[in-house]
Amino acid sequence: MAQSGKSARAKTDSKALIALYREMARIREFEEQVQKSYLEGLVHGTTHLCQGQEAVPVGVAAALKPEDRLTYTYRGHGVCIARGMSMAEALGEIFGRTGGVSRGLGGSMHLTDAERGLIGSFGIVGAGLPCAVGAGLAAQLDGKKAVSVTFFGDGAANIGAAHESMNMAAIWHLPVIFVLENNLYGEFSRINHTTPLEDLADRAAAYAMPGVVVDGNNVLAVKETAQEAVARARAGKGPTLIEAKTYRHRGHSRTDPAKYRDEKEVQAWLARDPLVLFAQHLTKGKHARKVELDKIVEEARAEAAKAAEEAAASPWPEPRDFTPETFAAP
Amino acid sequence: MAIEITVPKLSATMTEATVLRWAKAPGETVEAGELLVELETDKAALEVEATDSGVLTERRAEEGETVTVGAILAVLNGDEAADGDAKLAAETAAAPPRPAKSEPRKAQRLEDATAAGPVAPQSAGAQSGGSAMPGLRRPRPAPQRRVLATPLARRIAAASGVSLEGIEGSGPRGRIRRHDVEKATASGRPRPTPAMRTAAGGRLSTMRQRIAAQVAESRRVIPSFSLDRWVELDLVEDSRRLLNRRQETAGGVRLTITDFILQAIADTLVRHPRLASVWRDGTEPAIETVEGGNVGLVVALDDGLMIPVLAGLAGQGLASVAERRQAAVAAARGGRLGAEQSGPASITFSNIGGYGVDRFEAIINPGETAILAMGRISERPVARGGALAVARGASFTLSVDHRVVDGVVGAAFLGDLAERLEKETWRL
Amino acid sequence: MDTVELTYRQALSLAVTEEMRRDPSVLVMGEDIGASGGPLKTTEGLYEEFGPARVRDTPISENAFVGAALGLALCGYRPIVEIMFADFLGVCYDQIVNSIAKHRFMSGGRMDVPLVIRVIGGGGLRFGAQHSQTGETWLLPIPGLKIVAASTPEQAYGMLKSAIRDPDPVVFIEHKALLGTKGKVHVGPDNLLPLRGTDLVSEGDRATIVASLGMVPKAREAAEILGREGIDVDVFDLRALRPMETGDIVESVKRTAHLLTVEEISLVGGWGAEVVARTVAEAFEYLDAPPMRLGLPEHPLPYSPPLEDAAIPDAERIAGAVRDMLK
Repeated sequence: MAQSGKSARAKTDSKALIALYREMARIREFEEQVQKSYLEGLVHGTTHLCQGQEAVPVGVAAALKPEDRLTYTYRGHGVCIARGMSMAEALGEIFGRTGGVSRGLGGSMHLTDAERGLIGSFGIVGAGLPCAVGAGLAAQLDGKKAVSVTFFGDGAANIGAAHESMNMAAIWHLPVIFVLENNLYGEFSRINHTTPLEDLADRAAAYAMPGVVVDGNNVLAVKETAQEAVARARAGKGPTLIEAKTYRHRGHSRTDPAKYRDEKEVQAWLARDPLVLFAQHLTKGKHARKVELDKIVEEARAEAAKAAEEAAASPWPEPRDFTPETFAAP
Repeated sequence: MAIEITVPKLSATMTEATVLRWAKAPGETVEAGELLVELETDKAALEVEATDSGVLTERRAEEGETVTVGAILAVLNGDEAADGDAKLAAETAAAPPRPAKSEPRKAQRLEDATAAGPVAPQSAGAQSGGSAMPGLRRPRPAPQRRVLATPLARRIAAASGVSLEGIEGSGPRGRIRRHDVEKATASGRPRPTPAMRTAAGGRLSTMRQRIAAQVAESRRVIPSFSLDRWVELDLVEDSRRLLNRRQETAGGVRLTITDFILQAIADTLVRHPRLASVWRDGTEPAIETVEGGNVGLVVALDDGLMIPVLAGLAGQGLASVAERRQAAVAAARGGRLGAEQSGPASITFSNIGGYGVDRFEAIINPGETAILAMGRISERPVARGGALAVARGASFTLSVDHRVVDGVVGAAFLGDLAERLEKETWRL
Repeated sequence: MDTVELTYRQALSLAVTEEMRRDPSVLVMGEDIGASGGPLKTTEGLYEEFGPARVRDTPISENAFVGAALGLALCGYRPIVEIMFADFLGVCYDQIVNSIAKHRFMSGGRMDVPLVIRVIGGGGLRFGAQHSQTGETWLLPIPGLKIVAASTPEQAYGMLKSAIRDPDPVVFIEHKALLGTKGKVHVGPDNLLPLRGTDLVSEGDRATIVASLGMVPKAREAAEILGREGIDVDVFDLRALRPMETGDIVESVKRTAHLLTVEEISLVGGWGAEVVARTVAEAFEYLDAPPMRLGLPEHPLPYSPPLEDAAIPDAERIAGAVRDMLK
């Protein structure tokens, strides 16, 4: 049976706590800015926002080192910001400009930055797990105790690649942390229609690895759980499946008004907004005053707005001058 | 590998040709597309080009000998073409840039592949004592093809009896397309070759009916007489060789003997206006001048002939004459003459010497005054300044309409024409 | 070592062995490729020399281990994965076409993906419809992949070494019926063959035949049959399907005026159509007959021997096609 994650204990340096809050605020404001920009016609196609899920990437990132590698999904802006990707470069990519992190070739679903370990953002559900397994194998072969983390959703938990990957990571004892963000919906389908389990972490036993359920809106709980899993991995004890229970505030994608969700459910989860929860924790624990936290949010908003301006000023790629860069050795 | 060059069939009725002049000697290297030998047939010189590069090892006929269509004329040895590899190397060098990773590829014969020395520059085979990996084997280069035409264009040209040589292609790479062939036949629609019928009970083609009517009319109406002169053509032949080299460089039409005769006729007409005039019958008969130096040319076709007129040859250089001659022949073979090829002429030239006759008397084209018939070019002993020499020449027979041209007038024309051919210089 | 006679499968193992000795970042993964030396014995000796860390048996999880190859490649390794039967490409198709092929491009050219996917395919061995694809065309339309097909031990050796050293994803197609064929191999540490370009394996002026994999020896046999009838032909081993180079084929057709492609795959969507399209575009005026293609019929490969044999083009059929074209 899966274990419940521990609730957060205090005793962390206030600065560090405020830093966590800042990271979540930055992600929140970044996603809000993407939304604004979308309405201004600067974002093309579609985009998948993670407002409400910020505690997961922030908590996990806080447990990692620079040499660790991550794969994630089309809902992965939060992971990228948490790992330090420049907002302007990220927005530039989302706007399709040459200043984007991939020169405009990838777009919202494919923000990557190898130097920050952000090795792959996958648009195909579940496709990131095998890549993370490979990165975990690389870490094992390197012998330097790096780990590999993969973020995926409750929908991906049902796809073949996910099962294959967890099985293989377990049999090879790979240092992979499988972070399953269960936001209760696989696109438009609620989990109870697609999966005969309440806690997906229960599957961990079937993969011969520990499975942990954690409150995905509690950044400290996420961080602590992640730290344990990372420590196990670095010690050569193999993979862990972390199921972070969370909720997305918006629809599946920009074009989805999410009318398939029960209004009461939405309201209940909005009340558990990770930023709100953590702000309460910080003020109650006297780590920060509300006015400081508000300022942090404002600064994050301003940072995002400035980044959007910079991104919007970045030039469009010129088809005539376009070099595909499909091959390293053409 | 032995490459055989056979006698090509230029027209449906061609069965033989005479070897006029070999351009290459045994042992010489020939490039694909280069002139190998000149044949004479169908009143025109026929140039046979090598289809491949190689060294000429055998000439199967002597100059002056008759060869049959399809027979082997010459044999080349393709393996020993010294220039072949150089050409292939040049083409390899011109190949699109290879990526830095892969080896440059060098041409090799298959038999040589395993025996080849190191060709892969990045092979460090020498260090390990291993032998280097041979490169990828490449095909021999394709011969240069001067006539590029679409299948449709070829089909139309064949149906019209038009040669693709000399048609300018408007497509990419100079490709001849349907439009170009139709333009060249000057009608916009291809003319099917008249059907041939057997003599026993078949219907006569339009052309045969026309010819019959015309020659009968000519004999009936025109009181003709003829004058003969054997003309030395050494100077003409030498000039032709020389000028053709220039033509080749300039990309101009290859000159034939006919071109020289045509220019000579045009030049001589200037000084003999009676030969440039025609008899106009009617209630008030008259002799009318035909301006410009127009000369007709007999062109043999399948079971018939056509006489296109080359207009305005007066003062034209040989290159221009040759171009018009080529166009006129093509038009005639296409069965339809253009407007300017259907104009009036006072004199026509007929050359059937290639078939082996010494002399003949042609029938004057009705509406014209004269016809010049040329026999075969052959060597004859001649007396010069009291000593024997050998000269190449042909017999020319001028038939004239006595109503327009008297004996003296005719003789003067022929004499001047002969002088022109024998002694004067030529210009392109 | 100088020029040695090796079987195709020995050539594969030797190539991998040499590259693994040369570069510690090279490793091999696949089903049963470790201690047992590979179900088709294509990795013999590797496990003994390099051990389980670098010669890894995987669970039956093509999706996972092919995707893992991507992860390894992004983290500084050069993985070689073996797909036991080309038909199994279906299982990992997503990882190959959506992840591996597109990764570098989507990163704006900032990440390299140096990996090799060895695919053992081909029919004629009575393995039935689900174990007999050559796999040549399953990945053909995908930009971002390099695809090569070795028809001889030497090609296998030289191209596999190149593929392993190449910084891009290479799909390396092998034919199981060729695994036992013997041939001379110029062995040497840096003896590489390019991943581009065709190889002329027979010469002649009457027609041009282009073939790949198992069809290459059949085309050569056909060339011999035709040669005895006085019809000499150029035969090309296509070798590299993506990127495909047809310059030499075009040059040959400009001389022969006739083109026949022979592939062990359905004509629809095959590479023959690509060769024909390019040749017609560039040698239009030189063709004296419409180009012809031979391939598999429009049904899955049957199990029963006479039916399977009838489905796969053989030397007689190839020769017959050339004769028909020249009529």
